[in-house]
Amino acid sequence: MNRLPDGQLPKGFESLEHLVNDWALPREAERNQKRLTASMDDIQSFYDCVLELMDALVAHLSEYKLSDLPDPERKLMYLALSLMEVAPAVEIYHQPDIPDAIPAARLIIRSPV
Amino acid sequence: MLRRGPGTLPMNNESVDLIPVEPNISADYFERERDAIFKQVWLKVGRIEEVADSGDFFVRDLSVLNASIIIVRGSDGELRAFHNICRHRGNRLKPICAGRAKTFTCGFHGWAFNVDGDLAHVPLEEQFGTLDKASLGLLPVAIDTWQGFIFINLDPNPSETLASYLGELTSLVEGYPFVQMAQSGQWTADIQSNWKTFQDAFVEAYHVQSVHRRSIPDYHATPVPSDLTTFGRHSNLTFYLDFQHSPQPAESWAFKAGSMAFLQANDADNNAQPTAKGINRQSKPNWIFDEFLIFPNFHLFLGEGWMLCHDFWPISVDQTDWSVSYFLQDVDSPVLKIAQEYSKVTMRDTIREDLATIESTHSSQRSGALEYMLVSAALEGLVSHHHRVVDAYVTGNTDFLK
Repeated sequence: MNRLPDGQLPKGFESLEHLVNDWALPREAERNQKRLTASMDDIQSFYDCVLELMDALVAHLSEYKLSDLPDPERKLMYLALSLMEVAPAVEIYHQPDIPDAIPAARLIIRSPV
Repeated sequence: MLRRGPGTLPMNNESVDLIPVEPNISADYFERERDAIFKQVWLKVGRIEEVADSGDFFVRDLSVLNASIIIVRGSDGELRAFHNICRHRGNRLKPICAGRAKTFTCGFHGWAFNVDGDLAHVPLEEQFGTLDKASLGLLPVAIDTWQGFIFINLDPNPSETLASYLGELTSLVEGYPFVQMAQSGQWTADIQSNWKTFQDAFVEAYHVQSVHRRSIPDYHATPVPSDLTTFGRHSNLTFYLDFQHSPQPAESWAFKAGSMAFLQANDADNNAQPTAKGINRQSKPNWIFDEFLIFPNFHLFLGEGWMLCHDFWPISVDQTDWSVSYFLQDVDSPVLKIAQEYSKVTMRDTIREDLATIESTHSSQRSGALEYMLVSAALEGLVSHHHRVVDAYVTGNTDFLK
């Protein structure tokens, strides 16, 4: 059996590993861009995967401080931040972007990491 | 007290204000606003966190003032504002930027000023004879702060202090935890609209049931969804929300994790609400936020664990440079940060809905077909108030504001 590469997330969150490269994004503008360019199927599948582990994710991150967050926990937090970014798309609008709003490209998002 | 309705149309209806459209579309009126308002009053340009240490500075280009201003903390720790102009031949010293400096050096001939504004170095100075450098410092601009907000006044001798200008506002929000707030984002847009029309969209809750019918779907406006208060040239909207629905999964998780949510109403634990005389004056459980409209172009939203600053900077009668700075209670918990993110995203989404109406309103008003806007004094009284105060300044009749 081939040896898998080391995971990027804390132990117990292996089922989210495949989402890290696309969704563990540090900046609000990047997460919003990902939401706007992803298909609704991809968004729904990301949402379902992360939401399923949300209780465990919160329990795990509760042990840490933001100012002293190891890299695997940081990536886990970024996934949860992306969940919050796509939550309105799934739960309110049922599409990636907002209908009847000013075009996304006209709102410049500036945010710290 | 304020006059009811600047309009003169015969309409015997005390519940309605008529607001003339002309001031929203007239280039001549805009020039009068520039001179009578923006060059006379205190204007919010930033936060003290942006200039925390000696040498920290930022540059604001404010086209409504035809001016570019440097805000800088000096070597002595004092906060100062200067015109961004070299005393030599008037070249601009710095582009729009921010950072930490020891000197501001003009790119034209190399005249250099220290961060206290003093002229420090002139290349080939002997060719200027005996140059009185002490009198050739950067041109100062009046500056003051309130609750960490930096204000400037382009009038070389402001007719009143910032504290006097803000008036009752200072006591109304005393006690709000401004120092616990950290800027966590900023959204900006360049909008083809008159600045007043733009602001009008953010000073009433009447539009929520229509513009935000999707994002706030089961919004139940109580008979009047907000309370309106005016004090002099400024005003205040207290926003309530009966948000009677079963939260969706991610939404409900965010509400559970932190008491930071923009739409979190019917809060069983009322104790977390900020306490200040002017915030949730009626102590209603479904209080969401208080918005303070600080004349002329700064809207300050104070919520529980979040604060928003809308800045509306006119470019021309038809164009406004707008930004929202989003502040959240400074937390060191990744879990709370995740909860806050839901609130922030929801706020951003609803603001994009708000922005959809602005250009459409302004462009149709430009047709000149509509002479008066008709607004409900109970629901949209702060729209009337703002237009009335602007007109008072433009026509020089501000006595009633005192």
